[in-house]
Amino acid sequence: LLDDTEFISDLAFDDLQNEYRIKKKEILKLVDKDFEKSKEDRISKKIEGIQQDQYHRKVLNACILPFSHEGPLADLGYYFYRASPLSELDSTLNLDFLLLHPKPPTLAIFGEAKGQLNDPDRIVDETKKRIKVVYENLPYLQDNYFKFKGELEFVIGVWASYGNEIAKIVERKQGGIKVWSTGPQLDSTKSELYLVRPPAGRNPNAQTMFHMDQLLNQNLSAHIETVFEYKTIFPQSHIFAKLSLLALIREENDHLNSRIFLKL
Amino acid sequence: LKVPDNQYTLETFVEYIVDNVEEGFEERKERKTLKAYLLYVAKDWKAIFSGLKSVALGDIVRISFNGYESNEIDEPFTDFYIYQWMPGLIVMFTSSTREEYEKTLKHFISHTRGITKSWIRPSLLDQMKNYLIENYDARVYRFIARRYRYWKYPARIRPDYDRRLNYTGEDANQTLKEVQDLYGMIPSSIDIRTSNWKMQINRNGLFVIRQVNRKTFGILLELIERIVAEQVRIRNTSEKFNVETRKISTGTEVIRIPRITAGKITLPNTILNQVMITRMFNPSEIYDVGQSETEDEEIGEIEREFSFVDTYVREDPLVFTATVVDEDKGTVFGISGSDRVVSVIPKHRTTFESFVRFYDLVTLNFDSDANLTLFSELIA
Repeated sequence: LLDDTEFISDLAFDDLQNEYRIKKKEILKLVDKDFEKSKEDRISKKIEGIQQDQYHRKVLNACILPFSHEGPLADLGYYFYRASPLSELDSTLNLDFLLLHPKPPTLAIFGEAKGQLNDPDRIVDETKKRIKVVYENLPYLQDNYFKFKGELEFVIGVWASYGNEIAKIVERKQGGIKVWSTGPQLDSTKSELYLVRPPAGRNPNAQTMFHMDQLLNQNLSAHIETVFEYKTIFPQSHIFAKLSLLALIREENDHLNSRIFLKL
Repeated sequence: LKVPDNQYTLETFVEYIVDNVEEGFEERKERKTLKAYLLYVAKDWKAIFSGLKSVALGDIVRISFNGYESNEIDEPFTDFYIYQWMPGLIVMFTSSTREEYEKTLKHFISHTRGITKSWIRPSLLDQMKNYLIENYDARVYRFIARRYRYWKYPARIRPDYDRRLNYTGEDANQTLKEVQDLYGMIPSSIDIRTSNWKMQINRNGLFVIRQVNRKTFGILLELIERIVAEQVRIRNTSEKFNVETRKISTGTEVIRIPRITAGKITLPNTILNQVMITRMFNPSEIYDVGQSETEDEEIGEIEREFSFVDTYVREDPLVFTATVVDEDKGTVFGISGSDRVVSVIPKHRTTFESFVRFYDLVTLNFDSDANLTLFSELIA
């Protein structure tokens, strides 16, 4: 690219140079004006994105933490295996977490966490598409994750206020998905994770909304203590969340440097 | 403090010092003061001091900061004598002045992973003071107390002011109770005396004996013995918080799974609210109370060493989360809480003293009776 002063001197004639300067100023002004006009919008969109990511992480963390430490669910033989299973396959249709019961009867529980529900019907439909992708990739899963022969179950985890709403929709749409809910409880000082019981009725789909393992159902019905902060970022986290980790690494390096400096 | 090279037990070490006060404190002409710093350390604490000159003297280890960082400090150069009270808890004996301490040990502690002051929570410090008053007919004659506006320790008068009080007087014990009650202040340093001796106890785990003899040394060891059980419990709980990858067998293969040991601080006397948490996340500038240069307050400013990032607070009911960075020690951990519980989730580069310090922050800010446990532990 040509340097601006070089370009101006190349223009050679005074009137051309002046005209160039005036036009340039006008264009820059216009760009600034446009930017100012859309600034608020851009900022609020970014903030919204960050907030959505925060909500999503909270629900996701609440779903996986009880399976990551010594507690009632580990006693039952359930473990958190990984986040964003199958995300490496370049499919946008992967789920958020994978839990495992490795000892017979082996069971893998795939889950999708939702922080906010703008369109609950679409969320259920989309989760079904993601479930299909899991079944399509079973051989890959067995080759690359673990040699798995057993049942698969699927979960949607949502914030407390959306639990019943999403459960109704799942039931209406042939069931097959378990609904977990999390959030602070009004009658308890703890943050909890629990299984949302499908609406009482004679709908046969309701039965498919319980886990096969009765003990897991019982534990999750009794409200399991959890937290909303565990993993800082996930492969699909908002870019800002990922950048914050970079800042931490940078700080860590600075810290080391200062320590080395002190020792010298 | 000069103790000749020999093989000591704690008893023979104390014997030597009390029998040889003149020689031991030779370099201090005016004030022959013995200081004992109670410190939490990693279990292999000798490695922490490996960069310093150290000499093993039986159960005692002498370390010198000679050549560490700078040689600005004028002679006499003071040594520190370490005794391991129990695994993870050491006492460092010295006669160093405050200036020497700040340039050597204090700096070392705040920048080295695996070592931290053994903060004594306010209620335990109070118990120690009362024990001395009741059993030795001692009197409080001076204290330094502080309050920061972000503390939620109850105050009846102007709770939203930063303040510091250095009080000397015959009625210091009564005054201390009054300023605790009225102004919500917490003592950082208490001076106690009888007709024969003077002693200072500090919230940061420093003990100062102003007359070194068998009796006062005995009281010092007795005081330490009375609090170590509780102190070491906080340290040992904090040490368990970690993240790891564990291998488990499925019967046909071995798979790796992420595991975490998280912590939990439960508040029996305080119900947290949005304002309290927002203040913790965004601390206001502290009013500079202008401590006088000549005052011998070892505890100094309470450092602001935590940064809270990616914060979230909502009320009704209260939910909050944040990623916390310990700027001094490099630990990154998460917190997640409701109105009565603050869960602590280790993340990166964890070292136990970050959690010790954060727990101390919670006891000061919110509830001095706060309990620190493992997340999975049930609280009665």
